[in-house]
Amino acid sequence: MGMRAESTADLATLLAQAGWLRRFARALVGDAATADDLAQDTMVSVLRRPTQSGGRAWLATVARNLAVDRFRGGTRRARREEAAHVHDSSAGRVGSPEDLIADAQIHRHVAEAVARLAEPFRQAIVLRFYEGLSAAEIARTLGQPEGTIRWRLKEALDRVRAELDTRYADDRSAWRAALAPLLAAPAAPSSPSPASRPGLARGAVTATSSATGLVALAIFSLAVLVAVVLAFVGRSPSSDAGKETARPIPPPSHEAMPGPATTMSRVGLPNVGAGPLPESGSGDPPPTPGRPDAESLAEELLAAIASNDYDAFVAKGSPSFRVGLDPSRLEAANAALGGRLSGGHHVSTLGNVHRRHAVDWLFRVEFDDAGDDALCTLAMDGWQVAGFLVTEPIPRLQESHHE
Amino acid sequence: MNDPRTRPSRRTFSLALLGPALGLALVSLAAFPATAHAEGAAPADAQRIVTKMIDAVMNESYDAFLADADANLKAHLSRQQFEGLCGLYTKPLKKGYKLDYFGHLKQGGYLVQVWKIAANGAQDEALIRLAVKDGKVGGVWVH
Repeated sequence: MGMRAESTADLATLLAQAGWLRRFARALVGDAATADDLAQDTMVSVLRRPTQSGGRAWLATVARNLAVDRFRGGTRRARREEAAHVHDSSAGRVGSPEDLIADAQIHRHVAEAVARLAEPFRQAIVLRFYEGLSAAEIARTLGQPEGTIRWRLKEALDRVRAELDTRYADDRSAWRAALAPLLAAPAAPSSPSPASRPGLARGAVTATSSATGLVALAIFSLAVLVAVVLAFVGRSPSSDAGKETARPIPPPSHEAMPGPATTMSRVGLPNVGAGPLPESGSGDPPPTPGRPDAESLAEELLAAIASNDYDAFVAKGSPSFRVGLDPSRLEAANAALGGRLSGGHHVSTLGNVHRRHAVDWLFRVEFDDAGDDALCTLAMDGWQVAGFLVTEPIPRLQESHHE
Repeated sequence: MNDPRTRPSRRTFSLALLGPALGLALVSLAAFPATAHAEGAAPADAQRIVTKMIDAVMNESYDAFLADADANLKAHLSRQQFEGLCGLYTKPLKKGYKLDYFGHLKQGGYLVQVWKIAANGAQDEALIRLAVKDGKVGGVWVH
């Protein structure tokens, strides 16, 4: 590849890409919360396209494009983008198409290696690198000695490293080299202005943050590889945005995620609604008589998906929901579900699930076409929509393609 | 439908993601499947199956967990993955739990039962989806 060179950096160091991207994104958009969203969107976007590279130059391009989409016409964004570009000395390095493809494959293999980790090693690595918990915090969370957690983390990284080495037995340096360019130290900027932070941050990156970025990348990859959620629009608010908004947003149904993710994104604020919507921690769902407001809201959102009406879709969203929702997601959901929704459907409330800071309402969506039902999850932030998830049809199995 | 059984060349595996900040864990296990029942009430067979699987988690019994699983699920759910599930849920479930049946979805030829489980003392409730066909479990998701 263009930057391919022998590297002795360990696995944790080699995967610092996500950390770099966040810093780059922050230079682009200004605030940490939006930057994290942008960074994760970029990761997901890049990793969804196996023919594209996950390298820094390509990430920078994707991040800029997403930032442009997100903040159309914003002059502040334009200034930051330009400044960030100026100070990102590595942004212009682009490998050959073959190298770019190889990069993406290697990143995918890293993710697969993490996915194949046995428990409790996978759990430790997810907590450490995806959730950003320290070993001490993990120890407290799991009720285990900190030394045990540290050993698990080391063992997990060793296993990932060993698998990659095995996979690339004929070219043992390949996976390291493919990731090494992501760590290329740029020249330190002359001014510590916000726009120059990427350069400064890269130069001062710590082992811990590098490791975080590394495995975060692997997890981001997992979110793409392991499709669980089929359509997702919107996202949750983030009360401590700097940390938790780094959760990847699952791709729409026709691409099938998870990822992790997924999985429903965090809903960060307590539900303080009144009336039919339960207050946080209030216990049981509201009485069944009558149609709960949540159901009406879900129907409104589904109608907005059917009509691809972005304004209507975000009209009752929380600020984070409105800011975080890229119109392309709604378009993707419309493409996946619009036809079926427009052909007639029926929404019925299944119930709600209380989480620490939120209430998720669950609905069954039956379609007149007699096809598969969809499971719809509506996260409420008070009276505002904080997240909306449509899973249709059955989640695809997590799968890995083994060459 | 993306039935993995039609893709023999692909290997499936499961993943557990834990997000303690939100107290959410997603454990996806293998593939899928129905027992018809009246809306609003859990069919007796469904109750039996889900309770049996929860007991298996509490007892950390891999074999018991797969007792009602179809061949596909048995083929794809490894002991390690099950142990991961137990790592997350065995301890809280042993403190007692409350199980509520939400209803079902019709997906991919399977009846996907939706349950809510609340472990005593836990801050977060969890959602269980159980894909059942012909009395056999083809997939289970806990998140």
